[in-house]
Amino acid sequence: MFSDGPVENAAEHRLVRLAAAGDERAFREIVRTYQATVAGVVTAMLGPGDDADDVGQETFIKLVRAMPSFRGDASLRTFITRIAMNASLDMLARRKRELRFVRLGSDDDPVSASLADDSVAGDTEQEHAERARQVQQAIDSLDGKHRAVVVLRVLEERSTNEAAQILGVPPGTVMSRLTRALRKLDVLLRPVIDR
Amino acid sequence: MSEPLEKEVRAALEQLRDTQFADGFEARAVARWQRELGGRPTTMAQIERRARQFVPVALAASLLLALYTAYGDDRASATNLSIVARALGWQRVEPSIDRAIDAAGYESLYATLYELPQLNTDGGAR
Repeated sequence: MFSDGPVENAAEHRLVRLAAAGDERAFREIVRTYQATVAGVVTAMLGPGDDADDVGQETFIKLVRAMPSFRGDASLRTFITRIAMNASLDMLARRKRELRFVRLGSDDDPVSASLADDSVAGDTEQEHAERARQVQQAIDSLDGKHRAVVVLRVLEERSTNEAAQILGVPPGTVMSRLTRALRKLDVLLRPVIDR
Repeated sequence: MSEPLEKEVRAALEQLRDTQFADGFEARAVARWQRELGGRPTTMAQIERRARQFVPVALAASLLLALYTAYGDDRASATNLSIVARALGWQRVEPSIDRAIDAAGYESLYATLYELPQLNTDGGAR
């Protein structure tokens, strides 16, 4: 497994250069090494399923294609996380465009309506499952850029600067997006958490 | 953010993150990369462009099957068709994809569409 040291970075760069030149073994090695990292980001952003798989594949293709623009001032893991995150955001934007056409729309705010629903089952296991579903639903209600900072800061435990580097925005923007996202989650989930 | 809330949010995201790609991801990624090397369409944007070229002359099943071909035989599954169909805003058509292909007859449609030049070349005749 690679880490972020200079020797490992040089080995990583060499692998990606080989893959860019058509070396299948190098490409496989990259996929094997970073599959879990990429899966972590895209499934946290998109949920598991076909879209995540598709974006995962796209991430590795883009990595190889983007190699000439990789300056090496960040680790390859950070670079690939950035590609995975951007590809996930593109997919979320695409989903949003599609939903505009297909949503038949009965509730103005289905998330709030659902989270306000008190019909939680009685026994503990069901309660737990219901609660997890509600938390997931609240996270899903965040738009892509806010979800991205939550994933990077809360789940991946990246620093503000790292998150800023991955998202290509200033650190202040990461902080304000995180504050806004957490405030929204707090409002949506307080009744669930306090229950 | 309160501690219990952060814990719940992290747990929900961890649950997602721990769901890894389905078996065979490496093989799928390699196959796609090989198509990339071969100059065949690999990204959704490329496939969408090709599909849009094709819309005026295709019936629903034919279009989807053409995408099937354009996308590469090794990814030719209803699952991947669904991805392409959704990318085109065909989300509501999804449940009928398999039925449409079955009804049209996969072999004959494939044989016809395989010969269409726009599937394998840029800017081919419609």
